[in-house]
Amino acid sequence: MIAIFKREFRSYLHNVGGFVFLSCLLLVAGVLCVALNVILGSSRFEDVLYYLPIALIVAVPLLTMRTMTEEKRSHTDQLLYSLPLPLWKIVLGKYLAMVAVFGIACGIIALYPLLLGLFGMTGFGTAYSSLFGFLLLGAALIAFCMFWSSMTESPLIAMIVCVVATAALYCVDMFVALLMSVGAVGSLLSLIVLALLVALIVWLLTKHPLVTAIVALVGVLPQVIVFLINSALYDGLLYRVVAGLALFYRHTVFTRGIFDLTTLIYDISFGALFLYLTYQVMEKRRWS
Amino acid sequence: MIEVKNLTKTYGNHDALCGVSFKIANGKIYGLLGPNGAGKSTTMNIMTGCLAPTSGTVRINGFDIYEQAIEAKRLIGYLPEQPPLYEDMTPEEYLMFVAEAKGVHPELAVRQVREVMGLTQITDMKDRLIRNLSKGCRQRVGIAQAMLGNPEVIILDEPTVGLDPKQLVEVREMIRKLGESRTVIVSSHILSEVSELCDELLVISRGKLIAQGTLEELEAMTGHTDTLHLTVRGDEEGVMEVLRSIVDVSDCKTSCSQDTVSVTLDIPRDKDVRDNIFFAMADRRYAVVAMEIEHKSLENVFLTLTEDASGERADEDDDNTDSGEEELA
Repeated sequence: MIAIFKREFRSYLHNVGGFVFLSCLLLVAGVLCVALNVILGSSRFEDVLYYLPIALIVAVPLLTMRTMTEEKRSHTDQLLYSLPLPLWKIVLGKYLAMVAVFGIACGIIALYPLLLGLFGMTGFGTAYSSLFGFLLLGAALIAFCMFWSSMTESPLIAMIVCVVATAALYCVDMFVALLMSVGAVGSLLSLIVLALLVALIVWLLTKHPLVTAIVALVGVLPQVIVFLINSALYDGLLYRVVAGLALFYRHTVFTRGIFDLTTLIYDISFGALFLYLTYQVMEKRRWS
Repeated sequence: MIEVKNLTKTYGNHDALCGVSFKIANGKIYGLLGPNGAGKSTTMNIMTGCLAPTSGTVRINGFDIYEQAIEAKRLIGYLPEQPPLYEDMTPEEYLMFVAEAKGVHPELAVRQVREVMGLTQITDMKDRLIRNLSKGCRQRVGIAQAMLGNPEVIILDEPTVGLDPKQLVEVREMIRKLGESRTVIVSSHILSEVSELCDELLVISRGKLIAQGTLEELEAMTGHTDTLHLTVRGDEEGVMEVLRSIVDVSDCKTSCSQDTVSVTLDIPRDKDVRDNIFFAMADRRYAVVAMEIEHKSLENVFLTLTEDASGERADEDDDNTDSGEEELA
């Protein structure tokens, strides 16, 4: 795995891709920092990190678009498959290399509060915990985009799909507030639809009727039973679920100065889920 | 050493492989021979774990390529049809990466990389980017990569495709050298290459293994006759009469031009009848102008084998439609 990590990391620093990613992210961070901290005179660096995630919508796909498609194009995927290495180590090595490149960006951004400190900025704690939150968010998004890239064959399509998917994830934030007024029945129906959507994805990935049926049943049946027993539980549940699952939305807590452990766990699980799905896509390629 | 059992691979409705089984022993060079699209690459991809079979098993030294993938893959070095190279690396960096990924100890890796670069003659270009190397050099980097980690079996998928004659000779020489110390499996659709390089051949056609054996064994499989071309100065009837007394002429082709008769006929391989024909013709004062025995070439063997396979397949298809019609009736 270390060999894969080293190769990938080196490749980002030897090719234009890694630098485009870094410059894109650092440019937005620089502009935001100048605008908010220097021109508007805010002493809070976390304001920059409140807006910076928007840049990830384009930056992360730039980083991930080649990771899988390039292997296919140069036929090196056959080398990876024939290496005496478990596939998960290959996926993880590639993932960690991208996170390390992202880590470089965060490392450079970490210097900004120190520089601002020279002019009397306060609250290093919040600034750095926000930056840590930003790092986690980026790491989760890299796994998310890696999965979408692994589904496609061309870097351009991978880029477009990832930007759209990440933007959709970002847009969930805007709907969160609207969902507060949804009642118990509405929540139940929406969550059932959500469960069926998950089953549909399972069907598309596995084409296995029994597994799909089980996933759909497990997603729907308990909900109906719980609703029949105590419908009050479902009051505003949709809002709570979506707000809990909205990746970008969750991270705003860090910029409010809260170091949220549940978000940390959520990020790790979110990243792990998409890494697992990427692994499954790679494994499936062998079988198709 | 390698045991392939009942391998099938289906893509949608198309059977790329149907029930391929063979065994490969240690220390020989094997040639996987077949026309384009016969299933050679599919077989090799499955044997190296790059592709999963629809059914069937591959065991390398007793390790199943799926159940005990890591152990099995350690024993194999693989060069796919397109050398899997990272173009933004130099050969040395690339080989170091592969050695490390194959789990070779870092100190040993440096030595091994130097060794394989020497064997494949790429030491001179070790600091150039792979992107800028010629096809022959890339192929050699690919072969070097397969040799890393000292695998017992090296599998090379069409290693000589697209090389110029000089590179071709070099790569063949390299494969021959590899074969001295390990088992090598080479696929090719070029017969002369395989017959020259390999100790044993596996002939594959339309996803089926149709023959396995040494070149001589394969030649024997396709019959025990050679072709005799004879040109005699004389009249056709007289010449045929003489021939009839010596060999079976029921299956011969004749053509006459001016005062000569040309005859082409099959003769048994185990008995040289040329002397008898010569003296018999001389007795009748027919001058033998030319006489030549043509051994069945590997091309003929190959064509006969692959045509037989496709013929069988066509027969099977006919049978299927027949039975289908009967059922309908």
